[in-house]
Amino acid sequence: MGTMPDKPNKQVVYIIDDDDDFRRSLKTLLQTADFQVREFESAEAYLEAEMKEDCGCIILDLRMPGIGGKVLQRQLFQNGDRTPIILVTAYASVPVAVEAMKTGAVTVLEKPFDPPVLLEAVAKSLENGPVSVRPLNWDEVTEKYSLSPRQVEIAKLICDSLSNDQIAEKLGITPNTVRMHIKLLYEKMGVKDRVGVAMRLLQR
Amino acid sequence: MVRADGLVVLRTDAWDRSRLGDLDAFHLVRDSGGDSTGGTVCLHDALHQHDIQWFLEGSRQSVSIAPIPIEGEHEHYLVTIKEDGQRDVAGGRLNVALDSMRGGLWDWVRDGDDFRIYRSARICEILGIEGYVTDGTRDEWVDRIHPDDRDDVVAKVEANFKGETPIYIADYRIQAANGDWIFIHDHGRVIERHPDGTPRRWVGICADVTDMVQLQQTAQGYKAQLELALNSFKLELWEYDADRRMVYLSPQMARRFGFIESPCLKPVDEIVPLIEPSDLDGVRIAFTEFLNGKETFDAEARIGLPGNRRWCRISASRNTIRDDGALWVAGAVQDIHARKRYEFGLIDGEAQFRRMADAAPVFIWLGDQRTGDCNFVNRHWLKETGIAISHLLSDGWLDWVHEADRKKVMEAIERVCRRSNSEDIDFRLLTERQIYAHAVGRISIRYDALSEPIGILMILVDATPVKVAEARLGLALDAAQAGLWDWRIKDDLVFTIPRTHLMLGEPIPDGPVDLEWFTSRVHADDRERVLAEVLRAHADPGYEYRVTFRFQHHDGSYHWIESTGRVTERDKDGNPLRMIGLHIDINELKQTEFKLSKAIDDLSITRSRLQDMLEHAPASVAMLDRDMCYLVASQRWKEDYDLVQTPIIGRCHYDVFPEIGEEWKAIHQECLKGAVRRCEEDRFVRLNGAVQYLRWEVRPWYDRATGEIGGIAMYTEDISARKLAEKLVHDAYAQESAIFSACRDPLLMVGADGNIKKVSDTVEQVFGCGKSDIIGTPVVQLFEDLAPRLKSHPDGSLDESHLLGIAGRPFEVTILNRGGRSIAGEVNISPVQLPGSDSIQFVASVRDISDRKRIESEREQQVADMSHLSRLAVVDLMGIELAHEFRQPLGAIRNYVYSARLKMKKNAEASHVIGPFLDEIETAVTHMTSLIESIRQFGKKPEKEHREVAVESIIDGALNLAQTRLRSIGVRPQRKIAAVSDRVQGDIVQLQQIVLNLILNAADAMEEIDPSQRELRIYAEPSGGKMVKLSVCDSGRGVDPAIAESLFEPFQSTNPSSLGMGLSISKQLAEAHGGDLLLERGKPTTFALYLPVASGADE
Repeated sequence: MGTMPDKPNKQVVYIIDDDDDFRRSLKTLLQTADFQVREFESAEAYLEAEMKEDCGCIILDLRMPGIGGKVLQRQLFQNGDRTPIILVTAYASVPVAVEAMKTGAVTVLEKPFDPPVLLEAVAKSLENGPVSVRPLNWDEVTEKYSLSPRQVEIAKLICDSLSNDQIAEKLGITPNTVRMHIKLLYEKMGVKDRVGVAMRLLQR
Repeated sequence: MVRADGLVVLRTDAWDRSRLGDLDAFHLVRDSGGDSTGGTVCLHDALHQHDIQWFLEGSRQSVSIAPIPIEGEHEHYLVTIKEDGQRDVAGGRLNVALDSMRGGLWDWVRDGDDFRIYRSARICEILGIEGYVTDGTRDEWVDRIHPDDRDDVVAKVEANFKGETPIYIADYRIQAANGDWIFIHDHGRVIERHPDGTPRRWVGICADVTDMVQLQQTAQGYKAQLELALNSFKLELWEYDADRRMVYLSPQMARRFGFIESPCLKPVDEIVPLIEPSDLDGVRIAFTEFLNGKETFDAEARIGLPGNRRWCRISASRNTIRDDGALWVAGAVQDIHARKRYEFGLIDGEAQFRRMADAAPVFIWLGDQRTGDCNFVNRHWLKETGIAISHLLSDGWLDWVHEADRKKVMEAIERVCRRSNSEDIDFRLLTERQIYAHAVGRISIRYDALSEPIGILMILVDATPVKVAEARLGLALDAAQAGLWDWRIKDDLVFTIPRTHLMLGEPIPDGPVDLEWFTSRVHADDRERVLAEVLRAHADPGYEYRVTFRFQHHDGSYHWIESTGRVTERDKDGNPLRMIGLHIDINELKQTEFKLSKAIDDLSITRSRLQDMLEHAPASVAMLDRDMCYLVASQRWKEDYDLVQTPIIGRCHYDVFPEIGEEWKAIHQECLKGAVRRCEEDRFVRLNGAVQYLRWEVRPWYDRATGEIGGIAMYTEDISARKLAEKLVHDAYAQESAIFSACRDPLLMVGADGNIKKVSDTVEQVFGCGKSDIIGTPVVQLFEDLAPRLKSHPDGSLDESHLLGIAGRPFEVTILNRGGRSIAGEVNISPVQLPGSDSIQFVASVRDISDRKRIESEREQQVADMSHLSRLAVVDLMGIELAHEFRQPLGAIRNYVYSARLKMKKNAEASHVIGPFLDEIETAVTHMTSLIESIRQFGKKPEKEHREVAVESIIDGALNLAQTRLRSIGVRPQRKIAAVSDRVQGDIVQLQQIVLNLILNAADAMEEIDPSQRELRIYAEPSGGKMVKLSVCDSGRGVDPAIAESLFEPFQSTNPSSLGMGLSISKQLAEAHGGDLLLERGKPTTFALYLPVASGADE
């Protein structure tokens, strides 16, 4: 179970999702967990709305009719809005995750996600406040997960969305070796896929 | 004395010191020689015999000294001193010369061990000496010389000092003032000696040759590098200097020509003999053309030492003519021996092939592999058809092919051309005798050593003799009044050729008869004897079965038959499998025999009647008295033994046949004592050389009056005709052998027991072992997958019914090559009913089809990839869309469930009641999520990361998911899982998905029928050892036969509401697991899912 805030939070969690069922379920979940919630059915609706509350975090659906989550997120980022964004998508890929993390998302969740994971992400976002964006420091990452130089190389290439075979070719090693390194990488970073690797590396 | 023109004439004892200036220093040297009045100025001697001119160093004056022929004690010299600007030309030249040599003069005057040394400016500069004249020892100089050169220089100096050498010349390194080593070329001599011969004065010049040496060393370095390069690249280069007629050879080249020095420079006349004389003209012509202006020189020739010449290409190009106009050619040589040999080998090989083809006693035809046109037929063909080759080339030969066969032959050739395969062929070919020969053989593609197709080859054997032999055999058997029988003991079938039936008086039956039919017709009195004989033949491998018995004709009468034969085939335990033999009608003979013995026994028969009877007996019979004299002989006897013209009655047998040997006489004597002797087959060589095979019997006859032996009776029968028949049978086998060796694909002769009896020569390449290794082994051991196809007996043994079962249809096998390779092969087994004495056998032709298979499998792979791509496209589109659509509601459900749980935390009672429902919902959602994931994954090429999965968990998982649905239609599924099939290899989610699909389909299918009739059964059982069969049966409406064919294609469904992807995806999933999903025919509707059994080791 995720970290539950002991007292009601003043900050409001915004939900921007076009799917009515899902959005309402999310709202119920967050409210049940004592979060303040405001929902929007599209990016446009969010942009047009009058903001009275203190927005602590945005749960943003990537794929929506209209301008969509991606464009909205980029727009907010360019406008200097550093509100933490939790991006949800039906299909998380490495490029999506990398792009999202570089433009201010705190995490990317693949639908259907485990509710406690979302609650924890929301709680953390509210706690940490606005996102500070700084360039990725590989030395830090290397030390944090105690990666070998080869694993760092592979991790970089994973963030560039290269396949195992492409990585193998680029580094002049066999795909089997690449797989082995990636397995170790997953273990060291505590993730289960490439998207996880990308997110861990880009997480602040 | 100084002349007005500035010339000073002086005596050596009267130097004008004031005028001489710097020359003074020189005088000091000279003066110190000890002769104050007039030493001889011999300075010039160091350079010239006559005069010397040089510039005074450090001054602007030049001095020249020349001897003046003035009478007196002392030689006189003219010393000319010229002021600045008037330098003597000669002096200037010396100076320039010395300068350009970067050298100078030295002049040593010895005084005891010490020397007074004059050195010119350049030397002083090098050695770092101040002042031109110094005192010193020789050692001071020697010490500065490079240690490596020192001994050499000292030795040369000593030699010059001692007068052993007129001139001292030395090259050495000396250390300059700045520490550098300077290369010096030194040149000098002793010009004055003490009375005791020791040198007094030593003069010479030296030159600094450092630059030159370095240049030379550099050049040598380059040369070495070049040579190294030449060596390492194995370039063979040559240069030809036309003016000097010399050839330079690079190291490799020199070695090729066997010269010890490499590289080397050789006169062209030494090179020419190293070119093969027969190739030389070509080289000469090409080279002359080249010298006359042709752009390139290019010739191929054998070059090298005689006996070790190799084909080389010699070449040069125009731009190697030297600038100065001298003709100078540089070229290269390339070894093309291997290529040449291959070329010649091809030509030779082809010629040799055609020579061999000409010599072969079979029909050989060669054609173009593109057009199918004939371009060669061998001599045998020409001889047999009697047609000139010009008429046969292209498609002319087809005119001699039987009209009815022509199309077949042309099509076969065309097929071979197109598919590059080989094909068996048979057709009739018109021969010179205007009869058609039965040509049997094979068309195939010819390949050269590089596996390039070079034509079509057709080899044919004239099978006419075989057919003729068959006919002849029939005739021979007729002549011998014999019939052939062939008894397959195991099947209890007796095959007989028609003649036998005729002989037995039976109408020709449709098929074989059994032993019972046969024995029932044997006379009851003979039956036991015949059976005993048969059993003995069965038991004793070497035993020749031979028995006479009476056989009942269909009209009821009995005929005497002699039956011979032997067991021709046994199984590995020696049990007889087959017996083959002849039936010979000996009725006539037997009748005679009986009549005769009856007559002999019957006293009432008079001698004349006996004689009369005997003479007209249809057998060879003779009766002799105790003295071996003829009493009576039948007409046949006389005919058989060529005695028709010879009176024999009363004559002794031994007089008539003097060639009769002692062993016969012994037999006769025994019989005269009462013995009966007989022989079933005896070879006689008659006096005229003819060979006869006889069957004979000799027995005594008794005089009724006395009861004593009156003599002997002899019956003989000429069985030569029968022997001929046997021989013809053997000939038929020889023909078969000929066909055997003419075939290109390996042929195996397989006995009915499945063992290899005989193989053709070509087996080696396919099976990787010699002929002897294969003969005798069971045929199933040669192929990996033949045994199951044969469906042999449980003990693994075979008989011909198994082989007959697979005969006539080519099938694919894996050839077990002893070299460890697995070769895909095609086997065609045909039964061979050979005429004559040996068993029925099978000929298996084996073809290596690995190339074909490889191409096929590559094509299949391409098709698979293609279909995968299209599948990927469909699944990508649908799967991802669907996944996205499903994820939303699934996510929503999860969120609600979790929200409910959060609420329930505050209400323990609700938690008890609702908790389990939430658990259920969560389980289902989790499963659905993983299903969606699997569907999405399915779009990717499946990776073999399968695990061992219990069959039970697949079924139970699927049933669990389908529970609600099944309950809704009131079906209680029955499941049965055989213990053996408990684990399979695969992805449990995907497998559950398949089974779930099947269950849901079954539920849909049962919706329309009466609820009491609804029945669903799921069971798992092993299938063929390596697979598990998982069946889902329902009692539903069944599958419409109209769509049964396309059931597994996407978008086919009997359920209007379903998407129709179920079965298609399920089948693909099953195939991805190495299994299959099939609809079984009939009722109840059964879908069978085949899955590979887990290999045991979990990954």
